[in-house]
Amino acid sequence: MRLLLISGDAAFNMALDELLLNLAPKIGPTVRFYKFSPSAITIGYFQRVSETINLEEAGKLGIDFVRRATGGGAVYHDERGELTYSVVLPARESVLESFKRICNGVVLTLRRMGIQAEFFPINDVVVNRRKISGSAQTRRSGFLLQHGTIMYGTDLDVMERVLLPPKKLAQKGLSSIRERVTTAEIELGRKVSFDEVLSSAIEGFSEALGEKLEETNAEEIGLEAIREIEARYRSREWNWMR
Amino acid sequence: MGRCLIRREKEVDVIVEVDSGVIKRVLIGGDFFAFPEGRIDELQFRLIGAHVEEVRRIAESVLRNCEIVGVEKSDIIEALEKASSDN
Repeated sequence: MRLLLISGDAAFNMALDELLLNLAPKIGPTVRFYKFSPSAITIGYFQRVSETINLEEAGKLGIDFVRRATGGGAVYHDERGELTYSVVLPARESVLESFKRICNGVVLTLRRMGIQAEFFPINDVVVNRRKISGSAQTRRSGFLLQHGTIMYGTDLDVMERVLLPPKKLAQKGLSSIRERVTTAEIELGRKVSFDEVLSSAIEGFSEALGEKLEETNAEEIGLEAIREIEARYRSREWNWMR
Repeated sequence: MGRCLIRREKEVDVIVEVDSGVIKRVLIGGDFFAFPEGRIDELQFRLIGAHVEEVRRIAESVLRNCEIVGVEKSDIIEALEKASSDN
């Protein structure tokens, strides 16, 4: 299965994921691993900007946001503390089944690193009930795109500053974002590098998807159409639609 | 303006503005998943200008071929009706 290792800023990253989904009927499945450079926030397709992001704090820290094409919640993507994955596959299973199968790639990645992670339906991976990974999915033309996070060293102070706590946290008896999330560094009690997570992820996703991942260059796919999609992700009309 | 929030595994948060029984503005928000997402946009569009009594019929029709994950379709319809009647 094709493996792409291309990173960029938030708009580029979301545009490339969408392009890979659009191209899937022609080029087939892809697994991609990347980071957000610079750090950024993404919000779910249906979320309201003013109710999910602390715009004042994000502004002070120079952290921009982009609306995803996928549903789900808001995410702070730390350039120095998160590996992001995206997977494009034929949509043969139900949404819930595919979340479980693809999130198993995250579980196996973390277990290779010595972390006892487990899938937590609908779309999370947790360690001792604390979230270490969240995923989101969209589907079109018989294919699915699922993308998600693996937090290895995310700065939780920044995360707490820039994201407004979801109302449902209070309902679960958890007062802050920080109380319900963890990172690989917290779990292992040592520094973790992007490259360490990446090598475990290549193995973990390969095992979960039952296929060897082979790295491909962007030129072999043809990413010319990305500019138009990227322009939408940079537009105020898209990002502030809700 | 009326507002209704329903929480399940995910949440749906609806804001509706009604004037003389006619819907002027609708915002369907939340962290749920919809496949395809565009059905929710279409629903917002179709509800504008509709009478509040038509909310259920329109929503059931637009959401017929839409899979919702994290909340139920009935939650979205209930939230729309409650937010409409709160005006």
